[in-house]
Amino acid sequence: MNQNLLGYLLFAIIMAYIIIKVGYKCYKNGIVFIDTLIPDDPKFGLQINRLLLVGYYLTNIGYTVFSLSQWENIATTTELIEVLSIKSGIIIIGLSVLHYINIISLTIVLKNRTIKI
Amino acid sequence: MKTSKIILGYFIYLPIALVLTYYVAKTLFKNSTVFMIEIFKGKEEIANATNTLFKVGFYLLNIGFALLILKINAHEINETYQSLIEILSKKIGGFSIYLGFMLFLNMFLFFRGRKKSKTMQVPTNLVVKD
Repeated sequence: MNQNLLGYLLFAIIMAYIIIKVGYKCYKNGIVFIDTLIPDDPKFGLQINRLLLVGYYLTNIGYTVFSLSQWENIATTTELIEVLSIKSGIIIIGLSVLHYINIISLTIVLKNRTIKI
Repeated sequence: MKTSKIILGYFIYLPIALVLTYYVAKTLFKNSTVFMIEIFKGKEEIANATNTLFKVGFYLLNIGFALLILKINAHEINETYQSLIEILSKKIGGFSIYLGFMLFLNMFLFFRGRKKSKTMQVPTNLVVKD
């Protein structure tokens, strides 16, 4: 098999695992925050949570698939490991930045709410 | 010959970095539940949720960084084991220091949150009653 094809396969498997796992964890734990912010309408909160999950999937899968188009040619196994780790490292760090922005904005929203009431 | 040493380096570096991250995250977030429960005034559900979100962020940031600094340039390394050990020690030591820094940053956040929630005792109690 071509090294590039092998790389695409491994990359897709790793990124799918990470994206699905992180999305599921945020979905499970984020519902608590949304319920705190919108206490009287749990159905509306659930819908917002689901929309947020869809947005997350679209952003991440879109960027992952897009970054596949910019790989250079891979000749050896060493290059395969390097390219694989750097490409997934960039996406994982990007994910973590988005995640921290989310946590910070949640904290700000929660704080504003307590001050207003 | 050159490339085989580099691959050997990768196969040593990757497990060490990942296990180190896993161990630090496990220790940190097992003990941070106490802080979280204190910060959120005994509301265990939201405390556990925040704890898990911080854990996910910690894993993502550190594993991403570990993968980013993996590459060993071919001109840095000779065919000797000596240069391999030197390069690996630089990478793993640097990563450990970075990880320690992140650990202290997280602990600082927990302590600050605890202090803030203690000083804001009266207004939040009013909100809970509302």
